[in-house]
Amino acid sequence: MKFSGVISALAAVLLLASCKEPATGRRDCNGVYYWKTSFALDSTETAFLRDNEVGRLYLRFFDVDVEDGPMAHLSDIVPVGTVTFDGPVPEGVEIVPTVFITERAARVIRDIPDATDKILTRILNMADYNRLGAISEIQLDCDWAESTRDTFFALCAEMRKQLKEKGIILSATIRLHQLDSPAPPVDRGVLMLYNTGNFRSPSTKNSILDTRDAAPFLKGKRIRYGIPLDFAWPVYGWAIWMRDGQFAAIIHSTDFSDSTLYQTGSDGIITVITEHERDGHTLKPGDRIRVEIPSAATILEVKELVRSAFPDEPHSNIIYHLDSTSLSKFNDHEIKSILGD
Amino acid sequence: MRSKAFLAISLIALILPVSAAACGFYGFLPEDYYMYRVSGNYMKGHFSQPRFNYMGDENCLLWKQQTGTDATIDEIYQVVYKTPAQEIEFFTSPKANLMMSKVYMQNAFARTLRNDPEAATMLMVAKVCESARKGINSPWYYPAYRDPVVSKLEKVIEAGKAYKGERFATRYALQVERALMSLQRYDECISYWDEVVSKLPDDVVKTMALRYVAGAWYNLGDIEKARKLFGEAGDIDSLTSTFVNDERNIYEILYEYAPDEQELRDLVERDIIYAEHQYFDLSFEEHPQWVVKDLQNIHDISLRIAKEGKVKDVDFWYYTAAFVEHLNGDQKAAMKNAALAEKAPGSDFIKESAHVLGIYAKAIDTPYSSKYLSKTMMNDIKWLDEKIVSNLDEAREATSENGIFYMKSNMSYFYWNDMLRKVLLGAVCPKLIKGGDRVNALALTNMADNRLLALVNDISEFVVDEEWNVSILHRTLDEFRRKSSFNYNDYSNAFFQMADTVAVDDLVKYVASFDKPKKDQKYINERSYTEKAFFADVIGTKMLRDMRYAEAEKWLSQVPSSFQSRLNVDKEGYLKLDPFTLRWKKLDSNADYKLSFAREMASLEKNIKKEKDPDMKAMMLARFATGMRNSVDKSWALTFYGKSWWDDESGSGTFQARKRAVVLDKVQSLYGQALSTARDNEAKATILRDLGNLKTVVTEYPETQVAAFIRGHCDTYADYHMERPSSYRSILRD
Repeated sequence: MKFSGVISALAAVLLLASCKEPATGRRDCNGVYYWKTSFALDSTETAFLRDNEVGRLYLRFFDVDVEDGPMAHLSDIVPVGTVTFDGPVPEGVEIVPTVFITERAARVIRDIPDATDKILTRILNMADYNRLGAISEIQLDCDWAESTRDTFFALCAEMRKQLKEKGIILSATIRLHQLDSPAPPVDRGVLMLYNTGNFRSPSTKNSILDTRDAAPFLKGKRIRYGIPLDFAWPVYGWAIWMRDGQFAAIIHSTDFSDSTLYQTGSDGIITVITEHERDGHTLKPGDRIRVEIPSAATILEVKELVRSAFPDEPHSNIIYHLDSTSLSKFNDHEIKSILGD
Repeated sequence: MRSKAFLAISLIALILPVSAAACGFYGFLPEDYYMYRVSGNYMKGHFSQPRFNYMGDENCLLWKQQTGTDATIDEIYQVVYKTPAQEIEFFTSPKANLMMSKVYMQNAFARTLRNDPEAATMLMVAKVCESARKGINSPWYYPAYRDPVVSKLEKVIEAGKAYKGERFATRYALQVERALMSLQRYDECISYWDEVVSKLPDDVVKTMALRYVAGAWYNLGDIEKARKLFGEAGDIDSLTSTFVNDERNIYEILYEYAPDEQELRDLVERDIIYAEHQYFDLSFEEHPQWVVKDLQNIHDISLRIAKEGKVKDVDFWYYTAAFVEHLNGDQKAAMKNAALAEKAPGSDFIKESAHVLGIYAKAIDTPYSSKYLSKTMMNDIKWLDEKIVSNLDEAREATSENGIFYMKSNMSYFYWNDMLRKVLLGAVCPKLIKGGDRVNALALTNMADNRLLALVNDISEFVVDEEWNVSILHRTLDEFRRKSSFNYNDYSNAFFQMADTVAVDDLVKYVASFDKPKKDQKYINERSYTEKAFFADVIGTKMLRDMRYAEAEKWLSQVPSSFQSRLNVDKEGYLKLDPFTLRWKKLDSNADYKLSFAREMASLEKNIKKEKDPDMKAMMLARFATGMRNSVDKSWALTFYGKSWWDDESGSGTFQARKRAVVLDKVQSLYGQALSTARDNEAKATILRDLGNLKTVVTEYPETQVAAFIRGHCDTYADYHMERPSSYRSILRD
């Protein structure tokens, strides 16, 4: 056996050993979301998984949406943005297929068994065809509202029933504002501690994570939600582009260091000084940009609130999301603090 | 009176919203009749999309031939295209309880399949393939190892290749091609086809399979080969989809790749009919640009195809080019190419259509002259008439049920009659009117409205009895005119509207031609409605309207007393009031209502001239004025066949309103003359009393007996205390 093979084998053993077996029978281990349409890990990302003992990768398989057009409200659901597997899946990492259900889709679903069958069959075929290994968990991501809750819950119930026969558990993402509502009929949830603010509002400081936005849902509370929860933390950033005081778009890159194009104010808001194209948008002088990158300190602050609110909750910590550019903004210590208990 | 020109029958039709006698529905103008005829499919202007199911009917026909079934094409279609595989499996299974299968019990083809296992098996293979293809084409599909969809398709391929028979060889080949395409094994699609094609009979299924071979070539990148095969297969949708961003138009593309395919002709036909529809839609001020462009493209390709002469139906293309020229107003070019169409290779059907187009273009293009009718158009009119007669059977039922309605609204329903009306009412008659030949215009309009009805001679009506049972009553045209509860034809069709609005002298001349026809008039009159009583009544009524009372009396005396009950105005009770009083007083008898009035008015007119006594003359003048007044007001049915003006002055711009205004002017003058002629105050007071001016009587002529009577009957004549009523119409009631 070559030396590199020994190292890989050792790494795999270490990774597998990093997930503890709780009393529930499911491993609690570090996790990470992968949300790109092409699955191909670079060396940084691979190293990240290894160095941080990430045992579970929540991989977005596809979104469930409806066809665009004036008759969208009458059309059937379709899968969009299906991930392509352009690189190998790391050994020893459990893949959790994740499917995002849009609100539009949730509105048009009428036949629950049919929708469940379509989604599930496609997930399992993708996992099988791309040799992702045994699937023990599937996750549904949906920001359900009052009008779509019943549909989403019915979908969860049907899917959970079918998955149980296959020995697979079903999880769902939970938003902070949903903690006051009954839990969906799933086996466990992931509480998303990000996108807590209104990115459209000019007065928002950081829509990704702000302690002031999270506190009302957590501070001073001891929460028993009804399903076991894992917690997901943001390590991504973005820029909110505004024109004339109005939200214009989200720019997914956060480097605005070019002084010929931008000027940063004392309040941290960036002003465009020269017209130019960026990410498909035409930025003009006078446009303002608010860069939002949650700091490790803020994350840990919110983590403290979560710890207080869920004191005895065995859980995994999950990072959103696996992207070397985003991760480069955090040092190893900060990452370990975020992923640690 | 100078006769007014009847500029366009269609124009009159639009401006006469008459009530009572004429409840016409004016949907289209005569020149709106759909004329482009190449298949006869869209002659009502209903253009629809082609059936989505590619070659569905032909496929069902082949099933019929291959199985020898006596099932209808619809039954075969139901099983082949609509019945699920499980159902077919059920009723073809040897142990099935056939009573449980609704399809089996109701469908003859299902029963055929039960006794033809080879056919049933073949159909099941096709259904399995279809189901698998549906799965693989679903947006939800994702391949998997041990994919059941792929397995099904592999089995279809296996079954297809294993079939060694001849009966369903092309059908199995088709399924193999479909399965291979779905699996994206394009090379194999082509190699398999090359292997089997020479052994397959030429039938519709072989053509269907060719589409998939074309698709395989397309996916392998040989676009030209794919186009050629799509064209051969007649798959126009796929063919055109390979021409993204091509500068050529669809017609050029189809001509290049599928010149003999019906799809090219279908497309041209639909586009021309649509353009006809657009051109006639009054909501378009300008023709939409895309229609204009399409027509230009059709014109250019049509001439090119015709001149190249490579196709069998050259006449179709000359005719189509001619038709576009006609739509664009170039009648000379239309005539020229229509004539070429009549001589070119093709079919009698198209040649007839071209001949019609030539007639119509000539009718429009030829300037009016005294020979316009006799030398230019008469032979064509005769030709069209012969076509009506020889094709009458196809129009009998529709004419009987709705012919009157269709013709009054110029709705296309029987090509030959529609074309006669289009030519006559849309082109010839307006030209005759402009040229001053109103007699022949009347004659031809009469023929256009009545020829077909007389030939069919059957008007059917729904009748509901007291117990609400509905039956259909058939009457001859004559019975309809005599006995119907409302004649919704003769007093509201285009001919009547012309007859009622032309100068009465023109109508008189026309009626004179019934007994002394000139050469062409005899032919036309034999095909028209010429009942003398009808015309005598119309002329007499128009004479009354024109205040020509002596002549009115002469004409109305030719109308039998019994004719009055046939008038709609009589049926609706408009011939009952005494026309010589301003009161609403019914006559004890209304026999010969119009004649009686005409007589009295003619007599008054004569006597007024002779009378020496001023007071007698004044009374006669007042009576004469009252009769004249009532004849266009409360007794309007003396002078009109329907009422199109109202007390609130709406309808004031109409023909009737204009005629009425002339009469009322005369009435006012006559009343003034009566009052100034009378010497005795009693006579003046009497005239004023009859006009309802009671206050004036009491204030101006208080010493008269008339005033005393008014004052003494204050309850009845209370209005003398009030202001003079704004309308002359008295509030006196008997």
